[in-house]
Amino acid sequence: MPRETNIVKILGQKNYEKIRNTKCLLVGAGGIGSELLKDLILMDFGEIHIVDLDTIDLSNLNRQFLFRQRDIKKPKSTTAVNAVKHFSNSKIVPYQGNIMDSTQFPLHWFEQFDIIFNALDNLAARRYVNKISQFILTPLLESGTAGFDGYIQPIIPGKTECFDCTKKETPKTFPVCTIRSTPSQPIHCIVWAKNFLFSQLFAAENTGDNMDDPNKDWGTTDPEEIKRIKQETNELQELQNIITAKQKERIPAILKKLFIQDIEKLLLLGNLWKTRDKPVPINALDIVKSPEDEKLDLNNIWPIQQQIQNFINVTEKLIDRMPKENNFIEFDKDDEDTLEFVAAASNIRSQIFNIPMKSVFDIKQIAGNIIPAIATTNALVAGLSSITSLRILNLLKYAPLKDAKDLNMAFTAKSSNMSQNRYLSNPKLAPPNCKCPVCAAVVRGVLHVSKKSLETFTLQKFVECLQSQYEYEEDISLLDMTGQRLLVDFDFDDLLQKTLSELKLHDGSVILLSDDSDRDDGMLKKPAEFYIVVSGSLNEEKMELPKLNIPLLPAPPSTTDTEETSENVDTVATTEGGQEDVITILDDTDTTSSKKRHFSDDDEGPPTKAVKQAIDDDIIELN
Amino acid sequence: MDRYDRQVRLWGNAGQDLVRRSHLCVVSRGETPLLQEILKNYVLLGGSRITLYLDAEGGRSNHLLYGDLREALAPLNPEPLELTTHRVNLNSFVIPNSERYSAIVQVGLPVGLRHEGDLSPPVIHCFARGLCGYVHLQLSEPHLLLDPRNEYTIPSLRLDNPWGELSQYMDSIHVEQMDDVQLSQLPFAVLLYKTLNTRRAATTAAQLKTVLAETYLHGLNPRAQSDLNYAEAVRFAHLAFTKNRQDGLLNRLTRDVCPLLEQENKLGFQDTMNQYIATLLSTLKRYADMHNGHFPLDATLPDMESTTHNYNALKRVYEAKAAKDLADFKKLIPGDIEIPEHVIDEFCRNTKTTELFEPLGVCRGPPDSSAPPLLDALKRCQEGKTVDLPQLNVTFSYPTETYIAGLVTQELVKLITHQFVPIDNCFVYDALDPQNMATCRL
Repeated sequence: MPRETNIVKILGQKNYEKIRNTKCLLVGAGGIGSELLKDLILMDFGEIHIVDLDTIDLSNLNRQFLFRQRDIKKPKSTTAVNAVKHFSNSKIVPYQGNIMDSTQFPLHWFEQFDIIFNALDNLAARRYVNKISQFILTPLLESGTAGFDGYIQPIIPGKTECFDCTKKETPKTFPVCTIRSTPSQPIHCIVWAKNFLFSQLFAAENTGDNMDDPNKDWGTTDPEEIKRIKQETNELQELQNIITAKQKERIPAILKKLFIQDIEKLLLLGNLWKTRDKPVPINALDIVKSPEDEKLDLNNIWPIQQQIQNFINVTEKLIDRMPKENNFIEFDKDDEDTLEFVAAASNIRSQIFNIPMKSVFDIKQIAGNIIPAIATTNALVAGLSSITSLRILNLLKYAPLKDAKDLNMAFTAKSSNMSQNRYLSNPKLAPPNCKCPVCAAVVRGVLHVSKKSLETFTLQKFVECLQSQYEYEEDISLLDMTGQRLLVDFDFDDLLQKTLSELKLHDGSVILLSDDSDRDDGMLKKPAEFYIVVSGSLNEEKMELPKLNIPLLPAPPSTTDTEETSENVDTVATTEGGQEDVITILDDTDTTSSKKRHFSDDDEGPPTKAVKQAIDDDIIELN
Repeated sequence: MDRYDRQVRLWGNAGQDLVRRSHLCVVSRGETPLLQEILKNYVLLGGSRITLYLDAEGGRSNHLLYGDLREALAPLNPEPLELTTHRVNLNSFVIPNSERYSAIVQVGLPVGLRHEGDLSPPVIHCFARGLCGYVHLQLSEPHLLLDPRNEYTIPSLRLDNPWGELSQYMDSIHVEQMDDVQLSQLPFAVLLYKTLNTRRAATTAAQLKTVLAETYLHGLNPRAQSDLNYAEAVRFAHLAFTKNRQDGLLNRLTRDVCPLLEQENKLGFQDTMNQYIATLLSTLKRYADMHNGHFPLDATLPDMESTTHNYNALKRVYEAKAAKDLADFKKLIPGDIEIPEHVIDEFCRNTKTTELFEPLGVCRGPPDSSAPPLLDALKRCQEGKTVDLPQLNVTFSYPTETYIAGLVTQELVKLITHQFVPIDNCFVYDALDPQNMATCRL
């Protein structure tokens, strides 16, 4: 009996043909992705397109069962597809790429799919695909795991709540001063070692960060301390020169500078130590190279002398690697040299500040933002996701879907709380949250503009077109959401004479139009978000605005806190594994703002559904 | 730093070692997706020893992921795969040498199989059909936990029942001579201890908070209103009282657990870890009897707002006591059994968790009076009878079998590592109608 006979039984002949004609997009070929790919194939879906950016790593092999030892360093997407060929009746198309790359994956590319499965490992890509699904109104099945915990969330645009309707845990933030001058926890030293020291020594681009910029945010207003930070940055540059000049014999000078001289300078800042314990510089006599490079147990915490020796050994290794790697080595948790450097540096710093040291194993988890992952949770989440897809696509003949809200989310946990009957909880889907900035609080459309118009239209003309088409009054603001910048508002008109291409708007840019007018009746047009599709020839001047009905709504009482916060944030972006992760480092005076924001967000009230904190893959985003 | 890095972060190297050394027995009528998925997951997690019994008459489902099992499973684990397959007549089958296995999984078999001898490892029964399925754990001896891996644990500060060195340390802090800055740098445990030792007695967290406000905020340090350590003292006032909880655990150990384990011990334990933990539990009782009802102290202190110096000083007091207690405890362990050091250490770290004193299978309450209707329906399916439920009247659903197999293997890991609380004891799943889903005790 061929395998489709059974599927026909569960689906019926008509629906079976439907599934054979269904095109799925699977974003991610990792833990959940491997499992989902197998399940979708065994369900005989007609066409499966699978996208992944990553290559295979040894630590994937405990769960990503399509990969073998020999596949390490190969792309996940193509390797997965090769591994499933022998049992597949489906057409499978692999892509190695970042799903957020609008050149490789433009909006119209997404439109070919009947359903999208998210099997991602980071918040940014999840949010991006969620937004895309809102633009093109394609159902999305979101999923994730962390250790024993996992969830799925079907998202039917316009009918059920979207990924961003509930508040998600945002990256952890640290005050700059805490990291640079007054660490009090191991994590502060790890962030220092990884984000400041390592990147400065081994991955610094000579951008000449303008330190004379009077508006530069130093994370403090204390002039004495700003002076110190400036000087320190210059001195770090000198340390970097030791590395690039391959002066291995001067590694002890690096140690002396970082862990003796800098600390002595810190000690001179009397007011820092009025309420804190003073740091104790390391003993210069401890700076000795060990006769041999012995292999230490990475699960143990080594004494300070060993940390220093290891710092010297691993720095030598990295110096040797620098010329071969174009004087640019990025921190990678699975690159043992970079990990051991960060571990040694952060532990030495911990010792100085009287903070407990950590094992390399533990530091890897913190610095590498590691979420535990096991085969079983992936298998069961993928199982739940593929079962649910049958209902979303309305393929179960005895269970037609009448209302999208009859679908269920699912949360699975390790069942320690069996008494509450929570082995699997299946809340029904909620309607969109009316305050959700992604799906409900904006009107959305796709705007087509020809290549020629992109070159010739000024921002002024563009804004006028938008205003007249959608009947906005004088005062509007336009934001480039992709580049996170303001294009125009009532007191910023510098860019009006620039053309759209000069403004770096491109295929895939998303812009937000909001009403800033001050009408007597207190009403405002709802904000509108446009996805820009660049099409057509270079000769034809053309812009097509989508037909949208943008309603007038009562104006919100005052400015939102989100704006306030974003102004005060000094963001440090680092790249890792090709993906952009952002750490936000708040000013010292802002330490309470996250709390404040938390409370006010609660007041505004996105429904607090039981989205488990630990569930998201990038909770401890410290990169 | 290897292949198992991401899961070692859940159950540790010792747990992974138990998985690696485990031996799984699986009994199934034929080769089904459920069977293949269970084996796939088990080998991926690091298991490599499998004894498989298939019915002589049993065939192969026609929608399988794997053709040849051995060929498919071997590359999933760097250890050599020890898979032995036996064809037997399941109608009259008795599992031989069952005591040698870490666990037995019975896939889709309508009735429990008999086994030779008195001792049996845990048995997991499982089945999936259409959009439904179940997982049922059957224990022949109590399953004892080494570490429930709770996300939150209640620290045993013992402020209401301090030992000599803790009292001495606390008494060496003269709060009445401190200014408001110095006071704001004290860990909240110190504030709570000092409040407990004022003349006003407090026996509940609510009373303690009142006394704290009166004596500290309105007395010693009127400027403490916005101090973080004061806020913590209020918030964690309940942590000051550990004696009642400790007495409750000891009571449970003495009254329920020890008599039960003595009885079991006459038969002997099938599972080595159960044997170890049972020995440690009876040692714990003797320890408590000799130490005024206390268990060995666990040195894990919660984070507290204070200077690092003050915090570390306090931490050292707890660490010294924990080290001494652990050494005393080790002296009491009977010499006729050799328990690995890390098991003893881990046990002592967890003596403050309730789950250690609730052996699964005996101490968590009686069976439910009736089983969920869907379970009966599934069992009738297993016997080959037709059932009038659309979600069952189909022979295929790969995703459901994937899901149930995921649950089965997850439970296997919990049982083998003696970490995390296993299912107690049956879960019935319905993808179509969550109303039908149930957890129950059979």
